[in-house]
Amino acid sequence: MDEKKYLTVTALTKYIKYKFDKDTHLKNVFLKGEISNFKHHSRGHFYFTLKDDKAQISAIMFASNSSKIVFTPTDGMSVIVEGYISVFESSGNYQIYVNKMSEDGLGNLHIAYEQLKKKLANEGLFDASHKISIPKYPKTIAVLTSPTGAAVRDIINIVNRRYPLASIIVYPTLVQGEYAKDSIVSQLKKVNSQMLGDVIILGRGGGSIEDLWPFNEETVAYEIYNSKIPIISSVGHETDFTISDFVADLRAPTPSGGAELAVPDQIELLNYLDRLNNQNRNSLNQILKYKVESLKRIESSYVFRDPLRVTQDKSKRLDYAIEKLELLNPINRLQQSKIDLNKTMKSLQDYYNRYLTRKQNEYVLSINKLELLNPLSIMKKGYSVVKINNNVVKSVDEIMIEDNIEILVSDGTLNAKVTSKRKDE
Amino acid sequence: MSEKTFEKALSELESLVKELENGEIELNDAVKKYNDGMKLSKYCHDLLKDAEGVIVKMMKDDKLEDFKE
Repeated sequence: MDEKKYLTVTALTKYIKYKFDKDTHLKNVFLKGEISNFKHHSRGHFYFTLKDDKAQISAIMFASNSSKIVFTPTDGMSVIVEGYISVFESSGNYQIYVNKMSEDGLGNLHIAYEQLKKKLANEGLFDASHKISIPKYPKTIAVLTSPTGAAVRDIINIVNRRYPLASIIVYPTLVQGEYAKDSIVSQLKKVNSQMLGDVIILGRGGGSIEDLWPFNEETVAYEIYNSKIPIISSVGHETDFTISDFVADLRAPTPSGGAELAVPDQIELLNYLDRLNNQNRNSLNQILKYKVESLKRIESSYVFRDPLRVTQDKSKRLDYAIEKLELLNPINRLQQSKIDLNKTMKSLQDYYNRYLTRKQNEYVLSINKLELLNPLSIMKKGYSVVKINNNVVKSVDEIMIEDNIEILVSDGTLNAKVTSKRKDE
Repeated sequence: MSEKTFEKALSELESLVKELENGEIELNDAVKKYNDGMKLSKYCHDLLKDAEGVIVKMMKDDKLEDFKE
């Protein structure tokens, strides 16, 4: 007995736990069964038992995973789960730790979804680089959904409240049932050929996974990928994810959410406009302040404190320039011409005066000469002029004895009778 | 300006604000940009305030109809 080693319960349990955790088959278990003893713990964890008609296993689903469940698990419900098997040491139970759980019967759809998602991801349909950005201020929004559901009404109301400048074109689309995928594809093609929308909201309200299934169809995925107009996928509720959500340019949790992502909110826009106005005002004030400071700086520079230093030099140059300018000034040139003319006139006048004086002198001289020639002045000296029959007698031959003659002296006339004559040799 | 879209007016306003913020600008120019900015802002504001609500149509058989629920 003494040689035997006794393990503690803890040690044994640790070993058993180790065995479970090492086993690759138990690391990733897909299991289906029926729920019983379901307990929703206040902290959000699910505690329940999965069973079939011959066996059962304890199951736990932590709040981090259980919060993603979109249905409400209840006793008797058939479910499929994914998880791993491990040992809960304090109770000595092995149990399944559930990561994912969905209602059974959807199992095939679920697998198809996962397979398609993987395939399309590999083909690059979800690549961020292919996504088109959503316009900030769309003029027209194409809404592809049922024209009669709550979804279209929600979208219209929200766009109307947020951004009443937009208009909406509803493209009535089947969003449920076997013809839905073809309807979605053909309406997507139509919007793209008509180019009547700046953005597309594609979606529908909440429903079962079968209801939402058209949005998991491959043809729909490719058509979304090929759209030239950006698409906001807005399918079901917050917790529903579809292939459309991954391919689309943007995913919205709900149709209302899609409308909110499609248009800006006018209240925010008005606030934004206010901010821009303030920014504008501040910038202008800054500029004004800066200009005033520059002006002050300039005013305090030496140029303004001692302006003569600058102006003296300049004024000299100015004077010089003005002089030159005055020479070119037509009025000045006219005055100059006047001066020239006056000068000419004056010199003409001088010349004339000199001429006149000279002529006067000449005249006086002439008069004097004439005076000398004047017979009267000769007669004043005692000479006289003899006339007969009013002709001046120049020779004794012109006179006969007894002729009556006139003798002109300087102060009168003498009448005489010639008594004799003698001719000088 | 009556034909200008909200988006166009807003983007003009945004670039004016940016230019004015830059500050390397003549005073006359700055005052003009400020005034233009204020006008654009008022225009955008009025567009939103005067909007009569979203127009909803339905594309049926390639024709636009008024949308009735």
